[in-house]
Amino acid sequence: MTDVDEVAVERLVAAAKHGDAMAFGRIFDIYHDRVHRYIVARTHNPADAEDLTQLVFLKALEALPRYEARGIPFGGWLFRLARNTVIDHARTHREHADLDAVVERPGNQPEPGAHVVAGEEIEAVGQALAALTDEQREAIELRFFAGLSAREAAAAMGRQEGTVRGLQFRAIAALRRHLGLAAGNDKDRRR
Amino acid sequence: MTMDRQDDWGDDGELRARLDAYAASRLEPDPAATARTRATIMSDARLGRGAPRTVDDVAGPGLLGRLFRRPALAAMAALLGLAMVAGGTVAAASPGGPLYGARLWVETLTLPSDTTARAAAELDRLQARLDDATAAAANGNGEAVTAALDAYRQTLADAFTVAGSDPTREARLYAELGRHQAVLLAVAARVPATAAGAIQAAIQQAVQRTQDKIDAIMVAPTQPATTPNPGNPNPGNPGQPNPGQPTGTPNPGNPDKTSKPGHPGKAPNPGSAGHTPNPANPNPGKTPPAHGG
Repeated sequence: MTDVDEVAVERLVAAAKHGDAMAFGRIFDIYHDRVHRYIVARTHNPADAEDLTQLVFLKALEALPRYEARGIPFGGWLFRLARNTVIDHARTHREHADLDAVVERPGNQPEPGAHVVAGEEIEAVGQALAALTDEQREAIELRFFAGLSAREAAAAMGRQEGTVRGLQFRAIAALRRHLGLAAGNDKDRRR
Repeated sequence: MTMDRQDDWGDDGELRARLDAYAASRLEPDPAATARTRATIMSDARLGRGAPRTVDDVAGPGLLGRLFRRPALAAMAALLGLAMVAGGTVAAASPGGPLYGARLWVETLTLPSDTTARAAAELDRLQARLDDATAAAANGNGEAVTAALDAYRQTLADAFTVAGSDPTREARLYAELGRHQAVLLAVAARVPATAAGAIQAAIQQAVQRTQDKIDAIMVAPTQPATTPNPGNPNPGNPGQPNPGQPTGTPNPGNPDKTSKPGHPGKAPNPGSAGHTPNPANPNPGKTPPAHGG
């Protein structure tokens, strides 16, 4: 994860596994917003996302003693929990899993009269994201909104790292098409 | 936004900017909700609680069945339980309840004798009081907020005493206080007017003690500070503390706040204390002495 000192996180995880509540609090502070962004992007329901984010951390608290890195970074492990929690929730709350509801959500709209153009652009991004395949969209959500590395995103999705990079590449190309952005240097982005 | 992987995004600044704007507009958590969630999580973490099985359980009451997983906690809980039975209600041990003081007293009995461990335990107690206040504010219970914050201030005084002049312990305490200030501000936005004075006093106390240390460092530039500023990666600029980053780790929960569009009316984010202006102390150098500590 770009902005996370993974060594520091592993130290916190080790302490939290031994019951250090403060260490778990630090882990919460590091990952909460990221998990929340991912879950909101998945569910399109801020109220549900708040509860689900809390549930993810409660599950992590319970499962942490059984966590062993074994090549899986903690961020990947945590987001795997988040992903499974969202999937479980969608199975029992189908109405909250409507992926087409990405555009119009009350409570998150720009203030009336403010930045109308920016609001339209944001709406366009929402529509462009909705037009992606679910896997492409999830790759963007994990890599961009949650800030995971390709390795962590792969662990979260249960896919190969190269697969995630491919999904991301195609997602970026599709987003650019939908948003009418000039073709960029695809070779650079594909590295 | 957190994503800054040039190897994956090349120079695609326009797309990144639009995704940033989308995330800032649609995906950011509400700071007050974050504070509530943190209070719940930390409460469970301190009690060694596990997870409910479904999201419906999150909002539900009562996780007492998981309380007895640890012998020490069970003993403490049993003692508190007896006290609560005597008082007639579990609520009696909540902030503002008649047994809240007893609950706090029981906590002090379990504090370790080793100074370092005790300092860490005091930080836990500070967080617990903060969580009490956050939960009370969420319930709109001004009396409970006041009681929790009075206890917070007393615990804060104890924490300073235990931290003494040890640089490591002090640094950790100041780092915690920096984060607490942001949480307190989030709580302040939710408390009834009757609790406004208590929360202001708690913020003031936390701010004043932290600022005193910062001032001491700034007025003695020729003598390297005996107290490291763990959140400040730039040792040449000790006057810019970043208490939200006690381990020297960047604050990745909110790594890109400066790059986002504004959020009119948005409350401070507890996870980004180091970037949060402090309305309780607009002129820290002239803050009056703290009270009650």
